[in-house]
Amino acid sequence: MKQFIPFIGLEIHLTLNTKTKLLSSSANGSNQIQSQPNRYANIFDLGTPGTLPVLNQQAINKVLLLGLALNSRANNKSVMSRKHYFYPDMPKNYQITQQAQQAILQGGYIPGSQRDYALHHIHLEEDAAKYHIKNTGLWLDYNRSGQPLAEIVTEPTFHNSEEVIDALQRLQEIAVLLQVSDCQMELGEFKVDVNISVSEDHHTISPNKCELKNLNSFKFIKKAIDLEIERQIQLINNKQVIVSSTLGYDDKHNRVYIMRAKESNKIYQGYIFITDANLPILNANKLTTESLKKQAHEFKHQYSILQTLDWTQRQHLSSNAILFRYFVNMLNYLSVEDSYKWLNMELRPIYNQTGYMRITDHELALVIQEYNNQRLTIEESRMIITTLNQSNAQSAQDLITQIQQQRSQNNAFVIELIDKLIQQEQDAIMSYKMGNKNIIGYLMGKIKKEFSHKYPHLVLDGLALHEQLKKYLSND
Amino acid sequence: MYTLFEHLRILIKTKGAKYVWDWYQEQIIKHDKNLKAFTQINEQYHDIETSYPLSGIPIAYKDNICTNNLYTTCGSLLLDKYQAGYNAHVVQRLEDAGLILIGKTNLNEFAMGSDTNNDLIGQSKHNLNIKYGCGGSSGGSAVAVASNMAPVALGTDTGGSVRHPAHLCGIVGVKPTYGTVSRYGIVSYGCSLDQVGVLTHYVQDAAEILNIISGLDPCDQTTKALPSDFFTKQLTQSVSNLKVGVDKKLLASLPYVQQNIFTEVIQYLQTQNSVIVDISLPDLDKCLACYYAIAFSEGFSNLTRFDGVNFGHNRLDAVNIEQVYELNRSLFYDRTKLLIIAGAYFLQTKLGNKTIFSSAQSYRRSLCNKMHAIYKNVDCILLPSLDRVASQNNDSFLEDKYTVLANLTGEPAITIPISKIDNMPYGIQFMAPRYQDALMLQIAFNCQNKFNLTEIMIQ
Repeated sequence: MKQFIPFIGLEIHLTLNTKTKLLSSSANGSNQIQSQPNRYANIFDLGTPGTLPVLNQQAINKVLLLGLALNSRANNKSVMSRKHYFYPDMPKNYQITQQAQQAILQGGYIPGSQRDYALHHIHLEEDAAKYHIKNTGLWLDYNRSGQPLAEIVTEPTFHNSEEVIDALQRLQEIAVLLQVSDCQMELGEFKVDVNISVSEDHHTISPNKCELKNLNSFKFIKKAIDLEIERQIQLINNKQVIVSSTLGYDDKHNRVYIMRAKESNKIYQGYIFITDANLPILNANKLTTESLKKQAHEFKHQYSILQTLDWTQRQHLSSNAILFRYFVNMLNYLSVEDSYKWLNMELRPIYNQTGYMRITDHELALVIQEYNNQRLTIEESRMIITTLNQSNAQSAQDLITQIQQQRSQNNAFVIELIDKLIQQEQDAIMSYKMGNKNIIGYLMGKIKKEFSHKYPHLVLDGLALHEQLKKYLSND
Repeated sequence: MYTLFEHLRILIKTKGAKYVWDWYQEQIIKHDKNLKAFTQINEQYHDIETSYPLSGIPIAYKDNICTNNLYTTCGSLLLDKYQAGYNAHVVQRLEDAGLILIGKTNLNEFAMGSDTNNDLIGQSKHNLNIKYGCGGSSGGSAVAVASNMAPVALGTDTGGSVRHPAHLCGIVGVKPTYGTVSRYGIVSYGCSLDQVGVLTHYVQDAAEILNIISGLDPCDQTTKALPSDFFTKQLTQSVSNLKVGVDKKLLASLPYVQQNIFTEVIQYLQTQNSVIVDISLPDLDKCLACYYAIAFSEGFSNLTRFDGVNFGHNRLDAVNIEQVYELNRSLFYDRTKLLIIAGAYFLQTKLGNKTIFSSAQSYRRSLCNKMHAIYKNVDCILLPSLDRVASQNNDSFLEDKYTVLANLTGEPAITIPISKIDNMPYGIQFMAPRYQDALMLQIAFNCQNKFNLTEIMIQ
């Protein structure tokens, strides 16, 4: 049996989460794609004569940040070009994109779990409109027309589907955590085309490659790659020719099918390109500011910390840039374990409920330190965190001092409550003295209830109450 | 010098803007049926804010400049009855300054060509002899101004489209530095070559308009901020001690009568203490070849959007998308079709290892360097704008050779009427380094002062 080596290259389209589109002032984003058709299409997006493109600086910054995090080189002569083809999803009948040599970023790699995966280049381009073919005709929705895409083109560096998935997961993590893309696959914000060929030795890559398109989940990507490698090996073993084709994956029957053969369709070959003279030639090297470099540098460090966590912890953190940022900032004050524990147990529920994180990491660290030194109860800590997340009218230090002061004032009231309780709960006290120490929880509950009835906005110091109650019960 | 605008300002003050409007409307009724300068006329006068310097002055726009009012046809059957729905940046600026749109002027389809002919309304005629061609592609604008149907018109100049008809019709035509005036709302022909130009009777009037329409427009990334008197700051200063470059060999190749006109201009400049410096311009025939390779390639690209899908004419009888393209795009004027095919050819065909287009781009860069070297020794250049006067001769690809240089290098250029040959006007051209528009206008202003041919008709 002969040995075969698959060579796999990827083209990944990320939708950048900028405020506006790549070349026009129309709003950009996943909400916009899902909204009523053609609501977010201005005259430029519709290809109206006389309109001119204006390159979005935010999109440039985002793609540069991504490139720096992936160790790419900023190109000092980066040109926007027009790629011509006639189809109504491109209202100008050309797409504003970049050719490989003139792409804004060159080279780089995705850091994988076992090895790095080399990139060829990263370029910027505008997305096409959506279209639906119905029996009433061709229906067009230009909300997506002109959304900014970063196209990440890898070298044919992958040899199996596991490596591909590893790279895609890492890339998705990086893009989300850098906040350059939301990467929601179901909305088409993270699209992958896979080029596959099979060789008999390590040094020659077969020109007969097939391209898998329109894959919308990691699961399907993996399955489709495995099937396609198998199909190509079988064809070679049967001495059949592999025709370079564009393939689709049918998840219902778990099979790949040929959408079109590349040679037979001349329309898809030899695009005409021309430089778009309306747009400036970019010196991406100059556009890479110190602040971008610093951001990327810090990110790489933070990302390496993420790698030290276990799988579940990584999953929790890597899917949300805000929580991740928060996590790495907490590391300035706390250990990795403490940071993760607090973030996951206390902050994530608040974030999930409110959708925002307003409490600063510095204030949070202060609260946690007070807790660790047993100067705050868990309830008090939670209350301070919740309050700070809602408004910054008071500082963490103010709230801590207030609580600690009130605690001594409340002391008198608590003693009064305990006295009353001892009168009423003779049975429970007896039971305690008989050795049922757990009954103290019941007694504390009673006191807490009365206390919160009188001081609804205050938290009773559970630790102190516990101590005091014990003292009373043993004195009696 | 007493200019038309100065005269109109007084008339508007004494007799009212409506009086001026009515006078121009009357001229249009009298002449336009024969001359076909306009694709559409705005008959509706509206009151305007009269406190600005140019308030109440009527203006015509070449019909590839988008206007909210009236159609923007580009002289094309594809855009017959096309409403742009917005004002080009220049139109908005002028509207804000109180000028009133009087009509849209005829042109070659999408400004491609120089005989102002198209399938939509036909050919514009020369105002002095309707058997003669008026030049183009901004021929409608030139005829409208020359025959006093409008005191000023805007055109677009991709390879001489403002200067060519201005020369033939005996008026002033300016193409400012590429990037001084926003192209937002101008239907593109060659994005790297196109520039809005102004057609007037007087240099000073054109400079005033340029001050209004120039400067930064966030919608056109090739523009930048300019001072508000950028074009007029040194207009009336004398031209003493200016170094004027002249390619004597080039002038010697002109017919004798034309040479004489240049001799007169040179003598005048010398009496003003300007210094004439002999220079050697780049090979103009090569420039022309380079120009067509770039203009047609960019033109090919810019015309792909005209498919009838989102705007303009749409054939509803198409059965599929290929037929939509076929039926709509076959409405292009024959010359435009030729240009599209040539452009696609230039972009795909390789000479050696480069496409014809990219060879032309390389040549273009070397041209910029050559011109830069020339400007080390001179302040501006005097050259022909065209080597003939109006005649029955029409469109020829070859006669743009004096005008395309300024478009390839992005430099400002102006043609001004200086004399007559066989009773037909003859103009000369000045060019200057990029962003030296004020200096170029200064020398043109002085020359026009000396050789004025213009008479103010409205009284």
